[in-house]
Amino acid sequence: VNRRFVLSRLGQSVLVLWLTFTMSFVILYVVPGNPVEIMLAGGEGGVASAATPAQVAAVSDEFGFNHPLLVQYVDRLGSALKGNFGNSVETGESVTHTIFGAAVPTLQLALAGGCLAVLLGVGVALLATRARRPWVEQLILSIPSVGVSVPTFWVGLMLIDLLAFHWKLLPAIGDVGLETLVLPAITISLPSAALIAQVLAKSLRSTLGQPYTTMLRAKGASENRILIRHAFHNAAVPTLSLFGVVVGNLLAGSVVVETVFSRNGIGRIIVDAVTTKDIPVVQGVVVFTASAYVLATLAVDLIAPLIDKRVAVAPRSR
Amino acid sequence: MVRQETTVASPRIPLRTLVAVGAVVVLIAGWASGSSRASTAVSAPQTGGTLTIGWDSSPSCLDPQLANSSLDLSIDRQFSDSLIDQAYPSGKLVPWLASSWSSNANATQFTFHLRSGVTFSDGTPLTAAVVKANFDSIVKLGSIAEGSGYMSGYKGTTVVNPTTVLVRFAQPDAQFLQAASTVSLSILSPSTLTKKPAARCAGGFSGSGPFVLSSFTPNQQVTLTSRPGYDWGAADRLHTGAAYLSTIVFKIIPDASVRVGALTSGEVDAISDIPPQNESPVKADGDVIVSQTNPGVPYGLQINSQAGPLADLAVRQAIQLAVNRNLIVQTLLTPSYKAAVGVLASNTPDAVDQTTNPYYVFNPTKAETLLTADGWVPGAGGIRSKDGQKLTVSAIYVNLWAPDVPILELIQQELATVGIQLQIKALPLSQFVTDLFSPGGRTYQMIWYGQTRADPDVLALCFAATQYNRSNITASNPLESLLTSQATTTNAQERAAIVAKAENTILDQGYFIPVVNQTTVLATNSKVHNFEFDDTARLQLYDTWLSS
Repeated sequence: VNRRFVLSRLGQSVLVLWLTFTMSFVILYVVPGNPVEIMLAGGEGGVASAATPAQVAAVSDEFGFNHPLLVQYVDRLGSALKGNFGNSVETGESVTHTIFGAAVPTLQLALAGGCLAVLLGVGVALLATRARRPWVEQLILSIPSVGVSVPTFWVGLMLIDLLAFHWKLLPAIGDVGLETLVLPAITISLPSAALIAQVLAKSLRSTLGQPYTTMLRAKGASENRILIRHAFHNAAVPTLSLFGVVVGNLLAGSVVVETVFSRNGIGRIIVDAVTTKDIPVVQGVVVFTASAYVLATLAVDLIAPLIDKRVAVAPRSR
Repeated sequence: MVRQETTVASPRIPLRTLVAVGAVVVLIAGWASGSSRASTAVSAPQTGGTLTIGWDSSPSCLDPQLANSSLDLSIDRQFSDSLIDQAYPSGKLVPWLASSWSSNANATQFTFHLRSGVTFSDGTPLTAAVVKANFDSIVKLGSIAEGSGYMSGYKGTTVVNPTTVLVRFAQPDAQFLQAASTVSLSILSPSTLTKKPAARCAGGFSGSGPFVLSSFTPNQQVTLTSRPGYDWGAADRLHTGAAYLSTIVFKIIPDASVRVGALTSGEVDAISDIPPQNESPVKADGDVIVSQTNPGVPYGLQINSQAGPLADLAVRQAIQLAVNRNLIVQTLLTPSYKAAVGVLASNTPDAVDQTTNPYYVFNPTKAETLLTADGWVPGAGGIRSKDGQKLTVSAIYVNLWAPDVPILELIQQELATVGIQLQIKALPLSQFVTDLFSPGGRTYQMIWYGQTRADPDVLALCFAATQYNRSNITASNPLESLLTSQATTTNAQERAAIVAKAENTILDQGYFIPVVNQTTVLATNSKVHNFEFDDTARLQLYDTWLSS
């Protein structure tokens, strides 16, 4: 792969992360409400009490909230580069520690959900393409639209109600053990599976319409062989570019899925931190999710040319 | 300044709630459902077993002195003991770590005689020096320690002898004895006091309570185990020796409908925070609804008495008369909830039943008469006006509890019938907190909220000009002197008389429109017995047991 291409993509990624950090900083400080007052008021659901101005000042001092914004910005950016996002205002724990603790169950969920999304998405797309009658194809292709429009929390609650509480087949609560991963993974995979199915089915159809498949048929290749060995290979690249979107989907889905299935994870931390205006945690999570997204996109950009040589030519010709 | 927990319409968004509340199990609801399981005869308590409770939020702090959310305090209550216990429902103070106590005539000095044989879970014995170290540390920690709010004017603690301490205040502090019964002023091992707050909150503490922390996984569960050898329960406990349960698991289940499903499917034995609409499936399953009224100021509208038309006494009184509390409770809530009987919930010490007060009794006709006599005449769209000013008032709230909006909308309709236009404004939590506590700011006209505390001093907290003063009264207001003198009066009868006067003044002057009691609603299956609370609405699971 072209070295200049790699370097420019890396540079773009760093730029995106820096912008993310800066924007999250600006937004978190523009939103009204003093984080220290909220913390002293009890956070969580209990709006407890006000603190005296002296107490607010003491805690502001501890967390550096009373420095000029620019100084805070430079300080925090410097620490962030070293992987230190400060301590949670709510629990006093290190933000990095909190995020990494929560990242493990979220990664498990995202990985399981992602694999399932690929299996389901590819399965539906291939099935639709192999359908002999147009109405069957249309029917199968309408499944993804349903998948996209059904709200995730509803799917989760239905699965819990039937499979966990009614038939007692799988656990509904927690994140310990492989069996606790099944229902959440199914729930979180549906929107991404639908997306993959839609894009792949479309590219398969356009690939199968190209002259070279006619040529293959003329040479006596079976439909299955054409589909799997030739068309699928070529149709995979547009679908691969969805990887970044799917990662984003999975991270966003974790907010709802982790709450419904009582799992620990990044999604739960986001909800709590936003509710209690725990600025260091919110910022840490925003940068973390942005990094995941940026890495996923970068990986796709770097891998795509290896699969399809035509992609590698593109940046050079610009 | 006394810090307190303000319950903003108890539960949070579906996931979060302010369960707080204490009480002896009220079996009525489950009982009334006629379930055979709920009415199983209670036999002798059994020892052992694991009680699993579906809990709606992961604790931010496990240290009893540093926790500040109601849900956390309910867990933390199991780890530590206080000098005194406040019995439910009498509100009487009974011996716990202190076997007796006394105060001087003007409530500036309190002497505690400690029980002997008490040890913390790290083996350290309880002594007078330990109590002194605890109070000194709480005051030094300031607002990080919830209890520091109860200790304003603290001058120091004197170790009289190894089992006697003398706590001294700069000014009279009648609420201190009740405060000494709270989780926030419970006594911890001296080794805990030297640790960093974050380490303590994560579980690095050692108390003298009947349970010890065995493990904590954030957003997953908190596991407590019984402490063998515990034998210093408060005087109002039902048994002596170690707790009946061997293990308690608080399983964090943020979604209310999943919690209900977990209870009805038998996955957990009890659950916290049941929204009103979820009560019937729980009862239908034969589980028992446990509800208790939080002591303190009930949910209602506190009026800024200097804001717009609300500066007019007749307008405040008309609002008081036009709100039909019973209708609100009957149409929007369940039998677990009761209409407020006055400006203090009935289980708050010195609370007066104000249901016969002429301003409490629902009377829209009288409200209209008052308004007309004051010059507010009906105008366009049925809204009254006076000298060109429309009778429009607004209320702020934070939408944490599902019934918040329907209740406020019903009040809106009720006020409209007497010609008052009510605008309701939802604020984000951060904004609400700022409005509620901004000294001098008071940009609101009315606030919808409630405040939990099992001492009538809660009135001073919410109303006194020197404290939060949410009704914006002046220091020369007669109410102010009542609130000041109740804080300095140790004679129980005298104090009760002063408190009663303050309650009536608040109601008559329309500074607060009480609506519905803050209520904590939990549920257990029929195997759980003696699922109890203390008087400040924290779970107290020492006497709890499971039948097989």
